[in-house]
Amino acid sequence: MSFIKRRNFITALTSGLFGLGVSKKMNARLSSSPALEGQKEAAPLKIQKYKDLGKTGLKVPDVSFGAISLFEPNVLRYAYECGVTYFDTAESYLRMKGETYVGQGLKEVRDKLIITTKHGQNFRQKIEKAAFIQRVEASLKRLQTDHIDIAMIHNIDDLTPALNSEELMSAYDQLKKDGKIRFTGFSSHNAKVTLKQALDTDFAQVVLVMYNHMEGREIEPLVKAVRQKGIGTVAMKIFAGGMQGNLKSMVNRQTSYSQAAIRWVLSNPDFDTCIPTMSSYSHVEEYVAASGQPLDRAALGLLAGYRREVDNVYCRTSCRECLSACPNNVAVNDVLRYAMYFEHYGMEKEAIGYYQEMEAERKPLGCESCAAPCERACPHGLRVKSKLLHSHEILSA
Amino acid sequence: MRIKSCRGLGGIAFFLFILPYFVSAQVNLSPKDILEKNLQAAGGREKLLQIRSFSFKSGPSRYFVVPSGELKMMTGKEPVITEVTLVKSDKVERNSFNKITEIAGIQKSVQQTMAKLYAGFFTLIKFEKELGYQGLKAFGPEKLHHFTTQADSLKVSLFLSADDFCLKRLVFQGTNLEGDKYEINYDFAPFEEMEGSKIPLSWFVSQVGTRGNLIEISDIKFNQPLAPDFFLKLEVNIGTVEAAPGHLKGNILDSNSPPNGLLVVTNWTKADIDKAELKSGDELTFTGESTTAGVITGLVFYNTAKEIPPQNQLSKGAGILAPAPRGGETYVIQLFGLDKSVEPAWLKVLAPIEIRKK
Repeated sequence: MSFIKRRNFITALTSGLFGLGVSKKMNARLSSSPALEGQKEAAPLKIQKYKDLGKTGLKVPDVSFGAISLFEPNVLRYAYECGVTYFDTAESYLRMKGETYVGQGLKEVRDKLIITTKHGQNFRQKIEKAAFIQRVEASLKRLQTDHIDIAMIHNIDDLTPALNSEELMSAYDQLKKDGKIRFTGFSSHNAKVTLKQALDTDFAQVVLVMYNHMEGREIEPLVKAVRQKGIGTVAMKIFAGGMQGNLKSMVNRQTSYSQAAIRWVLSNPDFDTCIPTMSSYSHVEEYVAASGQPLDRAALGLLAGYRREVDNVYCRTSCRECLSACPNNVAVNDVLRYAMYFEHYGMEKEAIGYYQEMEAERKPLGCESCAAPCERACPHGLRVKSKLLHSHEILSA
Repeated sequence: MRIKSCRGLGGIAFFLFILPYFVSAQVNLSPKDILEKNLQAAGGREKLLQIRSFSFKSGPSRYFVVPSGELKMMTGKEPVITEVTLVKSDKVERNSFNKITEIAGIQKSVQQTMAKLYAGFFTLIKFEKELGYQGLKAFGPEKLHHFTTQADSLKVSLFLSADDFCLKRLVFQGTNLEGDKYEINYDFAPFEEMEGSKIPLSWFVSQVGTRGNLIEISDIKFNQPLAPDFFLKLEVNIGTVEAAPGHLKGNILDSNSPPNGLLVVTNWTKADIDKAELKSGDELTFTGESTTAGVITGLVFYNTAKEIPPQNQLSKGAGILAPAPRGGETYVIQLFGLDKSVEPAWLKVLAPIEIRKK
């Protein structure tokens, strides 16, 4: 403790007399080095806009936190300090460690924010109420909390099996009654179907759907309808494949592609928030800076440039036109989505894990000798077959 | 009861009274003290001075660095080396497939700064004399000491944890040649002890506008003996090529087995293909390691990926010579529907291969 000097001690005594507020000010002053003299402190980075999340009574920032790819729990806390109060995770994220990171990063401020987590279901197997309640309780433990604000069914194409499962619905009811869950909902890459279904059930209080500048125009009337019904609306996959790292000129003097993509989503008033993946401090800074920002020419220019580059490469996962054309029932959109996680999200291990869990009959194992009707069905001109074979190659590594 | 409450309140008051003392004392560390603590966290100045070399693997590349700040990065499946980058204080050179280029501008500044960081084993020891201290910055509950320096036109920010004094964050900021914003961010974690020094085993790198990547390092080695001319040599090891009209000789650089067959990476570049005067649709005979077992007829050449027919039109046992599917300097041979239970005898790294136009 040689660094504790008499002058410091006197400073501390003075600070102590006036309480911590004074001490903070003093510390701020003391922390300024000669190198900073004359330099103005930048305004603190803050979320600019909050909205009602449907009729839940919750207020959410326009830019929220997607925690699918996280390496440093403190990044969550940094985001919170910047005004981000909505955090989205899932039981399966980061090979079952995602919720643990969220719990670690946010435990001290838990009561001031909203946590959404998601649980996948295999509707081909029997769902048991007790087993599902145990899974949610395990999530609570990992999240270091006594309640989940929004519990979603993860990645469903059709809401019917969930609503028809008495065990599952009863489990959600029980968890709500016990105060372990506040609101329910689902996430889906097939919003054309599931949003319609959401209009007819009280289960969907918040929905999480794909929406970006390259896909989602067709679901806009449905998003409006669910929003009018009072359902909270959250947008995901907002970067349209996240391929900007491989492209030139995706940052200009005014904005970055990511900021432009966020601003594009925020320009739709029917979305309450969006969840860009924040993996680092710099992501927090970049994405929070897009909060409350309108779309302008610079942003639109970047988005147009991106579309030009990836138009016949990017698989619009929600499109699904190729699915009915495939004679082998390959889950083309899911396979290509996992390949996207592998190649563009920096989530190689997770993508391989998701692919391993996929049923063998949905994998592109018979594509080699197939005449590829999927390519004729693709309205965007993707070379689907070679993409599938390539995806299988990288995901089977 | 009242006395107890008073005692409790007294305790709290005393705690509040002394707390800022400790906070303030931490804040009041001089920049020199902070840097010294950074070195201590990594094992101490003496320990760092004992390290003569340091190497690690990341992806397909191996990095070698010495305390003088020189860095050599070698890429390829051993013993193949397809690319070598040499980073020195005055220049950065790259040899990629025998094409030597000098790296300039932002990339040069970034490489040189990273070399200094590696040479200091992820401490700021190599930056000591040039750093400005910008104070303590809060990232959530985490407080980081902010130091800055300049790497040519780039501003470099280095952030040390106020708790353990390890490097947590590194940011390069500037503008590129087009005048657009350039910003690249590194978050380091976790730090682990290796031979008495503490180094990060991974870092998350993201450029503004991108999602970023997690870089993991492995096979860390200290004090490997390196030849005196190790940091002078820029040679790659990609075998040799002989090209004449209708004929190419070369070597295998790598191979892998995608689900639809076998992919062999050759050392033939576009220039070699041009010398061999191959045109899309040319039929070729392929020979691997001069054995009859390695002869494959019916190989077809395609100059661009677009010209390759859909795979359903390629018969089982067909083969193509074409540019690498995911880009790359050299051409690849793809053999479809091969029985993968038996690896061809000729399939060895650097083994000779040959094609002849029919």
